[in-house]
Amino acid sequence: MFRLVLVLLVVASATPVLAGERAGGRVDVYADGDIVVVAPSAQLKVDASDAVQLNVGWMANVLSGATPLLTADAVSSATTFEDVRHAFDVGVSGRLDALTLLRGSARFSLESDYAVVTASVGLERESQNRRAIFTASYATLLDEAWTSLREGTRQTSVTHRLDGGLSLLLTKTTRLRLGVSGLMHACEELIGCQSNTYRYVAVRTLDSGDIALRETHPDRRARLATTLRLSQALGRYVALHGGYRFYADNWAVLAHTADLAVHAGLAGERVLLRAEGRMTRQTTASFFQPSYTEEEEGLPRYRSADRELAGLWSWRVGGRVEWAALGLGPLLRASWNLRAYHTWYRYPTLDPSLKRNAWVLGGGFDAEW
Amino acid sequence: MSPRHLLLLLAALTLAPGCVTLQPWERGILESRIMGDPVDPLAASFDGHVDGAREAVAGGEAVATDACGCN
Repeated sequence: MFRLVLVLLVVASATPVLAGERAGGRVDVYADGDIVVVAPSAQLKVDASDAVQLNVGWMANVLSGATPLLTADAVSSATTFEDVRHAFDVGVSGRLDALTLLRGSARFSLESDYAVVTASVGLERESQNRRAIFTASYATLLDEAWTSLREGTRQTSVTHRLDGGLSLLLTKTTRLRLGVSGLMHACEELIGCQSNTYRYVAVRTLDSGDIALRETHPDRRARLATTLRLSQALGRYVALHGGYRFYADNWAVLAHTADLAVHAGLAGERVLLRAEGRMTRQTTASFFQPSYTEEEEGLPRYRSADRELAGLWSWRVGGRVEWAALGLGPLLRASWNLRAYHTWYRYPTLDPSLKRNAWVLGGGFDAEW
Repeated sequence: MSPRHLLLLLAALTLAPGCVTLQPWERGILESRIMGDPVDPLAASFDGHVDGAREAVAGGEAVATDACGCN
């Protein structure tokens, strides 16, 4: 009898309703010696009906720092800057039938010299045996940049993005997920595809004078990324999560990223501990050079000295702790969390002695009802 | 392992679950918090923004939502 009641309860909980209503907020701080970013964010999900869920979100990035800036007159100096970026999200999810979910979302992001509008639509389909979920989505991003530091006024670029995913329950303790993303950027020259409107490269001219010239990137960038993630429970309260991502683009950047996490629950999952590590290796973009020298035939058509386009290694280690209270007033669950991680960046093809060490510290809350 | 063998392995992993029944009451651990990955969508969004600014890599993070058999 007890078994029958248990089965009925579980089956009842498996009826086609959307995930519960929830609200959350957090603040993260990123610092690497050159820049500090304070990022508050919040998200709310509410049910509009049994089959429709709405969500809204907001994130701000408050940037401040000092960075060497190459300008058109070849003066390199430490320049301080401050900027604030706001991003607003709105989304809706609706059940078409017991196994199919349709999603749509929009995002508007604005800072002092940059704006991005994103619209996406996606479909999620669960298999009849409820052991697999297939997802597909399409998004388009419209970027617009403007700056008084450059000639010209407003520049735009468009990005088309396709994502596909598959989540599989292999056993009662194992889940496998696959993801594929394809992105196509169509960038105007002044923006480039790195979303920075202020970058110049150092050039030694034929008469041995040093000047700074604006970076120029190819105006098309095709990117492909595939991800494989495996989650394995080791008993009732410990799970391992591992992932690998392969990335390639037509700028000759290849990257391999691997990560591993251990997630443990204590006191009936009222306390959750997570330790994780991540490693990335990235090759150099085909046109990247730390600096350029003018030849008789002129300069290369495309030039960049961005560290992000250099060959790099990065290692990350960190951890997270979460405390939860169940049945707190009208809330099913309320939780608070703290996290910290450190990332080491190294650039062996640019300058083996060049280092960047970054910290992220953050904390937040989450409530479900 | 050659790419052909890797594809065969992935195909086997993909098709195998369809042949085995996993009852709803056998999915408790899959629905538990420790199986959450990523844990926090807001934090994951911020991390993606950081990685996108510091590395030349993008995409692949939008893997399918967790299949827990509960919806």
